[in-house]
Amino acid sequence: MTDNEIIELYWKRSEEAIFCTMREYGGYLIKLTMNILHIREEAEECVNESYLSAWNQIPPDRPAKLLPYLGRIARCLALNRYDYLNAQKRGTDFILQLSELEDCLSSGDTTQQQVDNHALSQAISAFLKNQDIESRNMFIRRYWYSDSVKEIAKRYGVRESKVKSQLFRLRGRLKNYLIEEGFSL
Amino acid sequence: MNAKDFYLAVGGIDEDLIMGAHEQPSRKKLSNIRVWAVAAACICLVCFGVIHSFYGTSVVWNEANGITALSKLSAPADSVLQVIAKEDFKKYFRLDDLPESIGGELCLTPTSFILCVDEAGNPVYDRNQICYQNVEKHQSVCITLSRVTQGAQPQQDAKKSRIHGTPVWLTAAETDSDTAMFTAQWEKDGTAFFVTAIGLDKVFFLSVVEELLN
Repeated sequence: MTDNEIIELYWKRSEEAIFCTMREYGGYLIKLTMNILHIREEAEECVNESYLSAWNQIPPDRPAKLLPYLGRIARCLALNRYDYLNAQKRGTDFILQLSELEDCLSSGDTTQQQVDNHALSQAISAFLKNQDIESRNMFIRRYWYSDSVKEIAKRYGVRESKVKSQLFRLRGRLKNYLIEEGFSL
Repeated sequence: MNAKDFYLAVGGIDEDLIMGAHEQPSRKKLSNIRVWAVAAACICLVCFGVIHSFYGTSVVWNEANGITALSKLSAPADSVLQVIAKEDFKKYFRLDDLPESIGGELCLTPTSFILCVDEAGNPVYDRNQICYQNVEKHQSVCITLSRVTQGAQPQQDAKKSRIHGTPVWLTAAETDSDTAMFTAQWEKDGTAFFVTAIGLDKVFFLSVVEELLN
């Protein structure tokens, strides 16, 4: 079933929309939330909440692609759940991902600052579009899909050390780019 | 902003980027002719490689005490220390390039380049060391270069290797903490190279030496 057909079911308020979503994207959403939470039951709960959110938001939303739309919902819910679970003792790879992303923050100051998240997302997109495809995709697989380094290395047929060094260099370039663009992080 | 907020900001990137990363890396199907052409090219390359390695490269490892380590030398007291630019460094040591990374994953660590000269401006001490490390700092390669100071001399019974036609002396040892340590030394265009590597395996080390000799 195509995304448009599934979205039409949401607009018609047909419960078939949920079943189709589960069939097409259930596995992907479980994988995504498991990468963050590492607890099956919690991940499944997040995925179920994602279906509910999608049901409540469509309509009026009419996403162009369901994969990134559902993925964003699931990521946010998983991140909130991660906080709630006090995942210091679990999900060590996700903690590592967050610590890696601190490389992109210019001063290491973790206090709350007002930053236009939308503008920041756009700047990150612009930066990624100027990178070579392999580095770009590795970055997105690591920090959007929350894949482990091992999974990324296997996916692209390279050594784990190469993934780590490419991500390291990319984070450094991203940080410099954001500073040049005037983002004070 | 903290890392979680930044993680959420990454979540808002363009959908075409997300979809692009979702696709499996493409593996193109080759037609039969192309398959045979690639196979024939591979066979030719293998034959060439065998011939080349027979004449161009042979590897013999010595024990660590087979080659005297670089002795400590100081710059003459009356010499003048100069910090030189990277381009001058490359020119002085007859290097085509000073790569930012070697071995695919070892990055050049920041360093200064120095030269000590006498009153007449002649170099009297030029020993410089450049180092490469991986991200976790478990692997490192350090290269000491010199044109005027004498390098380590292999012992009489030390066996010589040949890599791409260049005579190279190789040693293998273990440090006190059971980490592998390898050295290689050679001379090229009047510059003596002494390479020390820690944390690499033999194959990786040899590939680095080959890369430096190319």
